[in-house]
Amino acid sequence: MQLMSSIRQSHFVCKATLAAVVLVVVLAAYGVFAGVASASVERPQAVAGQVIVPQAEEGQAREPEANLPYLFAVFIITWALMFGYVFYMSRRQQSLQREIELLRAALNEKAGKQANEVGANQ
Amino acid sequence: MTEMTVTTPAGMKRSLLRDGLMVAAAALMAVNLYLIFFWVPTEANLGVSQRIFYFHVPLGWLGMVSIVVVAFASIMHLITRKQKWDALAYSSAEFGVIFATLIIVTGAIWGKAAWGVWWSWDAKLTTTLILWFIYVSYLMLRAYGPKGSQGLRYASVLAIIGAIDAPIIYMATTWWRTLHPELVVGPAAESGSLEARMGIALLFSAIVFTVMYIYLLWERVSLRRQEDAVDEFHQTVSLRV
Repeated sequence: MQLMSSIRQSHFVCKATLAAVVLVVVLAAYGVFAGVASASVERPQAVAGQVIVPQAEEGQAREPEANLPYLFAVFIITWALMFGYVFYMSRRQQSLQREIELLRAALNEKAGKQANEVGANQ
Repeated sequence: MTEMTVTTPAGMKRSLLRDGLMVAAAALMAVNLYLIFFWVPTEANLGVSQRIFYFHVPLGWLGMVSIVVVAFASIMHLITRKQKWDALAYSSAEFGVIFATLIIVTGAIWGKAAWGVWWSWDAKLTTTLILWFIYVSYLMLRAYGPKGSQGLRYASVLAIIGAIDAPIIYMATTWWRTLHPELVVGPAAESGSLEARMGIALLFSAIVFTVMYIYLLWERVSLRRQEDAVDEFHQTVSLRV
């Protein structure tokens, strides 16, 4: 019972809220930032029949928003890994709780059997 | 019974403190993201990819802190034989793997954006990769090495050797002239090498990530101790049933 009460019950909801807050902020930032960047930088117009060649590495670095996918790849990977680990911890906690319930049931069953045996002997 | 119950006043106080730390970490992270995306100026040469810096450097800091925590907790465990130090060492090593992985991944992506290559056998990158291998070796040794105190001793020695790598990573760009940029923060960095707002955002980001690390480490240590308690409980049940 003491062990059961030591297992912290519902941080899962709090962690999910934290995940949602961060995700919303990142997506909002992406939307705003991408919008600002696309409004402020002139993009080359595609002409019919013309092949659009990807920009050179050096050129990419000079344009402020050119490396935006790299930035968001970093942010998404970082958060995915962090929340993946937090999710693992939550699952582990739930499995520990189930394990304790099984152990308690086994102990109670054994105690019940012993009590019945004592009663029958008397 | 190793874990303090939440029903005692001390347990409730701890629980409140831990919840408060979680709320603080979430709130500070929201502010941190605002600073990174809206407040900090865009770097002239690297463009928006330079904002990776505000994640990459704090992750690097935590990667190095984690191995020092593992080594310190391992030494304390060897001296005191108290289980809580072992739980701290193991939990910090797990975070260390995550941080070291993220340092390498975020660094590779930034490297592609800035240098045009995913990887270079640069001193800083190579010593960071060594740190990643140290963390993985530590966890593998704990999982598959000798059981009991002998395995713990081996793992502790590995952690102490691993901690030596932390200052080497930090000083790598000073000791070897490499592709990686020079130090911009810490005692060995040149003063004024970072624009004021960038410096503030970086410092803030490092603090926020550290708060998050403390909270998550606390949770993990608690979970680890519960795992140990369940193992003990298993033994008790198997003896009685």
